[in-house]
Amino acid sequence: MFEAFLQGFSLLLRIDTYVYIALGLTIGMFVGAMPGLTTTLAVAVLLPISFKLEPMVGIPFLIGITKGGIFGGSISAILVGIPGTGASIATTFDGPALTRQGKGRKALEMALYSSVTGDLISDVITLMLIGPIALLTLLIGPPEVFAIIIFSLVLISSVSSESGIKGGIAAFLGLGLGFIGTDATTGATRLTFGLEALTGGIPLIPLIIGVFAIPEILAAVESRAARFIDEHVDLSKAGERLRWHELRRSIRTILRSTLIGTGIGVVPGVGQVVAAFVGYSAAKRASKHPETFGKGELDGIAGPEAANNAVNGPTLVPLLTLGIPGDNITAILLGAFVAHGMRPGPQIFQEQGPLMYALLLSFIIANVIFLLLGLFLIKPFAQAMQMKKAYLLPLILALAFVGALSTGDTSDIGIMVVIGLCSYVMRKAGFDLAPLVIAFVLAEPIEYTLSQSLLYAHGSPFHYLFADRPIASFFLVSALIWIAWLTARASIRRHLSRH
Amino acid sequence: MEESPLWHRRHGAAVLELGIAVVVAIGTGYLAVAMPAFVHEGGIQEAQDFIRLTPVFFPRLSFGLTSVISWILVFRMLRAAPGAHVLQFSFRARDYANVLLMSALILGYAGLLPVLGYSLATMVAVAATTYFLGMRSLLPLLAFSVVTPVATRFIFERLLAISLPLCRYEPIAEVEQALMRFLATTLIPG
Repeated sequence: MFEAFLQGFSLLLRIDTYVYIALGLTIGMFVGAMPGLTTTLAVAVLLPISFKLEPMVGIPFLIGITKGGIFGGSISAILVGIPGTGASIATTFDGPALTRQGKGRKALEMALYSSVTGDLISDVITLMLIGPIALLTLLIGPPEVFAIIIFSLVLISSVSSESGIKGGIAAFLGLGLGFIGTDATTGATRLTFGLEALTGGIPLIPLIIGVFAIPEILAAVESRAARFIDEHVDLSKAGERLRWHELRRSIRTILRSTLIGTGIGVVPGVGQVVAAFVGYSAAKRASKHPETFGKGELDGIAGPEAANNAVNGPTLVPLLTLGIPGDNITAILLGAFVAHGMRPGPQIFQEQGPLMYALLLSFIIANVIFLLLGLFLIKPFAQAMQMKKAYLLPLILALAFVGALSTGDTSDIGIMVVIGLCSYVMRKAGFDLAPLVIAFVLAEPIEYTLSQSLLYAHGSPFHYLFADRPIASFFLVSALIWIAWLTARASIRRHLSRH
Repeated sequence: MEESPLWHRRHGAAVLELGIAVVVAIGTGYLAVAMPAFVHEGGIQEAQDFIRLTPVFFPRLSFGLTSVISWILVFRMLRAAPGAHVLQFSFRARDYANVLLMSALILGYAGLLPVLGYSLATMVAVAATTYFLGMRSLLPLLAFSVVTPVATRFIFERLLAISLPLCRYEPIAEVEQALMRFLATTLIPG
């Protein structure tokens, strides 16, 4: 393992990796700064670019978009009080107040330093933990992988939507969509409805772009406003730069939030939004002056910003070691890995150890580029927030179509549009579609691992899964307890609201 | 008393939610029941015998569970609704006029693309979308509509080797190719 780690360093000696990381960070920060656009949209639309690059270039490019996007969201959150992404909602509690006090620049720089520190430390922790975890996952078999996937899907479904039931519907629909096409085990074709285009199953790229890009475009035109942000941003009144003593005062908050974000990142489905809120409330609780929070407190920026960026690295742990994506971005990243001929899972560190370590190391180096670019690009992106929708949306639409066409099949455009329109309607009805996409990419592993488990079970699957395999049993029982708890909690709430 | 637009939206969303739940419940229920009809002849019989599962098993399981959960949502919503009030549909097309127009534009773009090819279809779609989103100055609109397909085609086709469809009418397709060749010789050294 250590040898693979050392070999990974030699793969880092190429300039194009860093050029594409810088490009990804720039795109991410730009998209993140636009309140109507999401980082997921940017990663989805630009995913096909990564396919055409080598893995050592294409995957860091996508990671760059993610890192930049989360920070970019804080620019509009601080300057005009409109969060660019969900992850920066907690930043709006203190950001606009600081801007009104003439400390906008201090707040922006605090957001940058906190984001970079959170990301950097969590990436280092990920790098240190992922090898031993990968070794542990080699000890588990198909029943355990099946149980962990089920546990993750239950967790993701329950926390992603406003109700666990809707999350469950989305997840099972995603599984159903994943079963369309040729069955990998028996070779039979199913659910193609006579359409040749569906024989190979629903292709991942049109599905991802359909789910994440088309609804965003439609949501952006709901309002008749010409721009995402109408407020005028005057950076000449942004005030002085952040001083060292101010940063030093927030170091404890940054470190605390980094640990919070790192812990939350490992759990599938929880994500950056929750991490940011927990980071904010932890900073407030630990503060000697909690009354200053919400009125323009720099710790109120450092807390959420370090926590939301610290989620990035650890989300890769379940993805790379078990092949389980914990959120939208990692579901798309799974697609990128597969397209490059790498199937994340217990074997990947054995088969492609040096490349995996090189990728993880490149994510750490990306934070240095992140810091430098952030310092230079805060001002232009603060102004770019006022860009007209009339230029942005047609460009995104064209890129979405190019993305779907990258599969080489024009019929994929139809799949993307149909999925996109259905996704918009479902999102309007309060369905979060992250479980759908994650379940879609997990359909094949679920089918494979459950088939294998049933074979091993020799006709008594329940006894085998719950009695003979303790790890599988632990995760399945945990999933059942979680569902029971959610059901009981919902019943209690309904009962209380009636009386 | 006139109801606020917000109420209309919330009410509309509840109706939409119920509608989606009913459609999903019925649709997936049907798929679960009729699943054997959706499996084509073929596949490896020995593999099916060996794993003791037919290709019907997993889709039926997932669609069946989707249907069950959707019915739970339907009944829960109906029980929570104030009488039959929720069934009064109050969707106001006016609130979603832009979305409907944009959806039509996207569908039109998808329909035009196989016929006109990427460049021409994108030019038309970008011009229409830009105009729809409020750009009324002719020169910027034209420039943006022409530059977007040319630039994206050049980047994706020449730099990233993603081939994009050409126009079905050969003279136009030849112009597209000539333009790309010109840009490639001008912008790509060597």
